[in-house]
Amino acid sequence: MGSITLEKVAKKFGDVDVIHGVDLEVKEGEFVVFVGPSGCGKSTLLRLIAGLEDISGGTLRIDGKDATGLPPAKRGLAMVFQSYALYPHMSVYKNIAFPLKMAGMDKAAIDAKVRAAAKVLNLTDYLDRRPGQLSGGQRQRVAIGRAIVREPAAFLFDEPLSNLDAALRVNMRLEISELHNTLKTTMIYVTHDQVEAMTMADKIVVLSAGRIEQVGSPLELYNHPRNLFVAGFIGSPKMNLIEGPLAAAKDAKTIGVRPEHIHLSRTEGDWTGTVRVAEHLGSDTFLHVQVEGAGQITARAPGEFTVRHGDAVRLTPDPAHLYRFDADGNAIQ
Amino acid sequence: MDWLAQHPLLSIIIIVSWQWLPFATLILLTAIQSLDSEQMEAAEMDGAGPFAIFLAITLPHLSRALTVVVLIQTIFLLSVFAEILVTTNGGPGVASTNIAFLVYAQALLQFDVGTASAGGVVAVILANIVAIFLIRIVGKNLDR
Amino acid sequence: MARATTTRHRVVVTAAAWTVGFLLFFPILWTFLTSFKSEATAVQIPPAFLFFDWTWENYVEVNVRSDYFRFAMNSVVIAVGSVLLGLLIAIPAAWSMAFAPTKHTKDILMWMLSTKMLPPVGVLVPLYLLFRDWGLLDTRTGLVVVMMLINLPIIVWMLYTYFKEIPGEILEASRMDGATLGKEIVFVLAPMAAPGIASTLLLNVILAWNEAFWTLNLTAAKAAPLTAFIASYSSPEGLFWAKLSAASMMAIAPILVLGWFSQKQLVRGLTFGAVK
Repeated sequence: MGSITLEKVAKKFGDVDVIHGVDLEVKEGEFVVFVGPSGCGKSTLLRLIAGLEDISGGTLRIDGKDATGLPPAKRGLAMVFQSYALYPHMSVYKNIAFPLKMAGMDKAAIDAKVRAAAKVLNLTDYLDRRPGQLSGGQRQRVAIGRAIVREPAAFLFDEPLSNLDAALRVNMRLEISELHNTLKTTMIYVTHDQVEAMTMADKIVVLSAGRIEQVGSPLELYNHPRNLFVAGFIGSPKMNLIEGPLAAAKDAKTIGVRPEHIHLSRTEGDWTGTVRVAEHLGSDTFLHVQVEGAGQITARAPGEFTVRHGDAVRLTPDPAHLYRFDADGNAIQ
Repeated sequence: MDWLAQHPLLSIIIIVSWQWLPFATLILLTAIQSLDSEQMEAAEMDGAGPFAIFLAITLPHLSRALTVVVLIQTIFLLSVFAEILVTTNGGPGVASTNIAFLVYAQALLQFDVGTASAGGVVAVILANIVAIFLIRIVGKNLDR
Repeated sequence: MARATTTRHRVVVTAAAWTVGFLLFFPILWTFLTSFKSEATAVQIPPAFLFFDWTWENYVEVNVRSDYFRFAMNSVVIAVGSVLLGLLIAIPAAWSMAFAPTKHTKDILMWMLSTKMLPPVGVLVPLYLLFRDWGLLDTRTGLVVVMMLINLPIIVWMLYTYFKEIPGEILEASRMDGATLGKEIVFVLAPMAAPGIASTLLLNVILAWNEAFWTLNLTAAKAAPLTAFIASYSSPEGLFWAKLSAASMMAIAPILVLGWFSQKQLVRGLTFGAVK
């Protein structure tokens, strides 16, 4: 229960192709994250799966059955919106009960399910309040509660943490991950934050301009990016991408190396450079170095590495973690 | 001094103007409220007296609203009917008959359907001419 | 943008505003006063203002002469009936324009608005003939249909502006929660838009109540509403001012009260949503 398959799914808005023939398989119980820059189509793809937009081409299957033409109510999916989309004129209890009421359940059964969900999410004390009287995190939980009671085949999350402040975001991230461990239901999660993607996902789908760039586990994408886009998107701070003579020397159009895979030294190393900005975080030091023939390089040193603006420094990229890309932007194996 | 008999058209005009005054006031009120007070203060600093400010700043700002009011009222005032029926009955003679009343008189009183229909068409054409300009302005409003 | 900086300025401006307000209200005030005068007092020159013998005789005679109640009932049925019918049609229409717009939606809205700019006299003859042939002349049904059609553009327009203020995501959530379109409108949209729907109802009842062109031309004795009631008291000889005033007051009293309580909605509706 909860497998979703997309076969050549496409979406046009008027004459504009927004999603180009996407193939994807989501297995039962997986936590899949759609990630990508603004406008890449990740939210659109989610809404296609939900049924809130019509699919222009291709087939969508839920648990093997063709769901391409089904309205949202009949797909057995539940969605948590970025703005929570709670019903402002209903109490928390009624909000959570609404989907069950639509399904025609009787009052006693509804009551049992609503209270069970409220207990899991710590909402029992708030059942009589209106959404307007709740904090951001509580509203988030009511939205999740409304989704849980339906016992859907899969949960769909549309950037649910974007409206929360940083501290709350970290907490909710953990809560959602724990929810997944408890319920073991398929979850499809959309975000533009690659940290959320890396920490929460079983499988990440990287999207750009309506196409899938790469699908894989977080570490797969980190260690084996298939092209320049994925290499530059995953990992924070971004991978250094260098063209020119240094790349040609390795027989590639572009070479890439992550800041954490560069060894820094004052005295010896392959590349020479001048420190432009040094960021001292205590736990790490990030140096932004102007390197001859390579431009601006970001390098990370563990702990404290004391240099200042203007100092000379030498960098050595780890050959085991040096990536080569051809003229089309694809990784050379 | 029987206004309705001696000045029939003027009486109707006064009645209808009074009736539509609030509408014009509302529209112009919004327009004035949207006027930036800082602009007026800058003009004051520049030495402009109240009349000069009105002419140079307020009036141009109101031109859009004024146009809308003029156009809308023209359209609806073309069909003034009830006021004429209840006060002067179009008279004395045809002194205060407008197109709307004329069509009514021809169709329902004299049973001259042909003339009445022709009158109706003329009224529609007149209103359409004004309406085209109005729609363009209101349509631009919708885009905001 | 209040530039009344000095107290003196403020006093002058307020006094001027009250004066203009009083002048505008004067005709109604005068009607009210005249309705309590005898016919002789009413045509006195110089006109009596407050100090005369107040009498109820006009109201009594108006009630005896014509059946106020029947006219009032007609007004109520026609005004309320036409608006309720209009809402039934307009709610789905406004829903589709607000939440499922296409590139023609704006054109459709403008076209609807433009139908209100048609001088009714242009269609008086055809409509009259049609009504006569269909037996709808002087019937409440006929008038309800006409009033509904006349006010439909405003009802749709107002509902459209109110619906646009509702976040679409909440309706999408209800769809995900299993609501069909009907349930979505009844359980989620209508409660959230309730104030807007109420305003629209109020404004259009007032507009339908005051409509004078069609109600005067398409009715005779049976379906005539209060507009015809007033018209029947007018006469060019000008001998019945007091009774006319009394009749007028009786006809506009309900609407004055209704209008007073729905001022904000009236403003919003009359300025096509520009003033909120």
